[in-house]
Amino acid sequence: MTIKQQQLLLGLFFLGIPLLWLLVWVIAPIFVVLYLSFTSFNILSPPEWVGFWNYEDLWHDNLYWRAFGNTLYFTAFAMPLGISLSMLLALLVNTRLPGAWLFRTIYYLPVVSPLIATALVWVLFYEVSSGLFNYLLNSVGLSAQPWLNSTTTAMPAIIIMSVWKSLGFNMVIILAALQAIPKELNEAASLDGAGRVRQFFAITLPLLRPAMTYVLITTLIGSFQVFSQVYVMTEGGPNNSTVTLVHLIYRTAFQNLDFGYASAMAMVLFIILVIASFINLRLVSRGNLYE
Amino acid sequence: MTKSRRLLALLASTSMLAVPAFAQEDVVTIQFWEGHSVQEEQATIRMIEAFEASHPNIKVERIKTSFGTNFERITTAVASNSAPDVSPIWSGFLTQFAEQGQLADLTQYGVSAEETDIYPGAFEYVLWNDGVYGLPYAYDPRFLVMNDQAFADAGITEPPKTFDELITQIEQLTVGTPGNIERYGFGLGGADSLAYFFINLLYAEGGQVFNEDGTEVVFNNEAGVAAGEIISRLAELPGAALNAGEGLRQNVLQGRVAMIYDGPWVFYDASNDPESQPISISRVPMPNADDVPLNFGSVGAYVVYEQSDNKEAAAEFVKFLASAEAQQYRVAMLKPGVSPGVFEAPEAIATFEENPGLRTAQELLEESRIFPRHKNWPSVFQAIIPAVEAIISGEEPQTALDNAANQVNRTLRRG
Repeated sequence: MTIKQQQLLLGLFFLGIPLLWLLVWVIAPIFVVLYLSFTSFNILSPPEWVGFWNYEDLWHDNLYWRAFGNTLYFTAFAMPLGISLSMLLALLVNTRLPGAWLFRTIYYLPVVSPLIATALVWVLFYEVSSGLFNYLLNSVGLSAQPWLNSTTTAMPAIIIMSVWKSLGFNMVIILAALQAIPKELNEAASLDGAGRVRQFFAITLPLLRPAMTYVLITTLIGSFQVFSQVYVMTEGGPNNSTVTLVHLIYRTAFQNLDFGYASAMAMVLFIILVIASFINLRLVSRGNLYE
Repeated sequence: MTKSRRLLALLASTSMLAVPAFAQEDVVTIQFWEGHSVQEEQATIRMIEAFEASHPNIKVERIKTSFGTNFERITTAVASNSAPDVSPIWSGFLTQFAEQGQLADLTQYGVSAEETDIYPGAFEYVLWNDGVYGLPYAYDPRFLVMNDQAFADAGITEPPKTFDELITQIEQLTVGTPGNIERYGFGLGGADSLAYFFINLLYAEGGQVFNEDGTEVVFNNEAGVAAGEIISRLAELPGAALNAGEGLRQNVLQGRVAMIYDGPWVFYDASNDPESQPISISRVPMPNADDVPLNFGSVGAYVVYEQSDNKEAAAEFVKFLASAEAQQYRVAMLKPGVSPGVFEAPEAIATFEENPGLRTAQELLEESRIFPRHKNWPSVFQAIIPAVEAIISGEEPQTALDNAANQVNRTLRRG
């Protein structure tokens, strides 16, 4: 065997392992779910083919559309809020000030904390009679809020918690991208008389585009897949005001044992995410970076 | 040593080895998954010890599962043919699993379909198609928990017997003004409690969740709307904290709320709360003072899986867990027992003496009734919670219940 053949074989081997992993655990399940979405399946007995029935039913399911609306609501607020705050934090910690590393660590801590555990702690923060937030509100003379118990405040409460939780992750991505921007560009702009705001919008932001594309797509997918915080903090209530698509899929599959219908829901979510990611990719990554 | 002696010695030594080996083969080990709280786990451990002592040929391998993910684990295990011998099951899953042929019918193992040593309300849960597909291990009634001091402060000596009395007493028990309440007269907290409270009122009003053949829900009929209207009236009271989260139990124990709708968990919490004040227990009010009392009770059962290789031993274990002998350990951990026989069991007698409230809770089981055994009960439950929340938020009971019923009936039509 020649060296070239050996290299090819080695390459195929190392490429093959992740490809096999991807095929078995990611691609194959997508096709399984696609098949199940055309069946009536309760996991305890074999699936029965029902054609497009699940999809027709989905179209008339008010709860599904409510969950869809709630997921959009969550995404519409959690995504821009989370990304802008991450950007702000990244800019703040991207300094040579003493102790900046400490802040980076502190901001990243929520990311490494288990979501379920942090959600449980936030439930205590939001507690009506003895929670931290109402204590703070009362201490400045404001009235206590029912937070997780009101249809008006439950979703914002979950958004606040989710933004806090994911802030550090996006911050690190943006920070890495910020530090990769050549300093000469800013120095040259500064010599040309550009202020810090102008430098940010004319140099920093455009050069952050590859990182922002990644951050936008992963945050979008993450927002559409919001589940754990809903499961722990509100279970979709009150009055279905926080029921989201993945939470509904979970309930339909594992509590109602209607895996066929849940698969149809999952396929619709999958298609939505593929389309949204594609649009996102086209919009954000358009044009040459250094034009 | 002659040849024949050597052979004899060999035979003797082989037989000595064979005796313990044979005895060991006789011991059956059953796998038992349990996803209980710390409170119930302690009782379960004592039950297992007592069972193994009385059944030396059966060993129980207890595997702790998470309470929250209990059903995901069981469902996937059953689907992949790796279910344990015994596990707890509750809600509509028993009917669903029995219907799919996944549970063993215990009548084959000496369990009578006319069981008399278990409360009828609880035993009803495990019946399906003339078979007995498990035995109850938990039967938790719902009742009013009253802070004695709050009632004394308000000069009330008797618990409310009717809904009108309940509303009057809430007004009397409330301390403070709207927006600045120091003590709430009544509290109802947690999504599950909302649904159970509604079902309790529905039953009290003579209503049903499902129609006769289980093809549609009818909780939005006259009785359901009457139940909804009671919740509406309560929601209008400034001193009634409805849908107030999970902290209500501590609040009633510490006197910040005078009365709550709760279950037997309150006794365990009271025993672990050094600031706990004395409490009393009373049945849930009825529309009229002379109505036959009726309380809601939730139930859980232990089941034996059809795929088990040790069904007979597993059935023995399940029978033991439902017996008064085992259930007394549950009472000792401050939960009512599923068998009326616990009134005669030594540990339970001692516990009831120390805790008369628990005795009252145990007595309420005679008049308690469970949720419907329908396989789609989880969907109904999920629809009732938002409907009650909508009523609390001010929606018309009829509209809220109609919306919920339409949602559930659509699911029921799916089969």
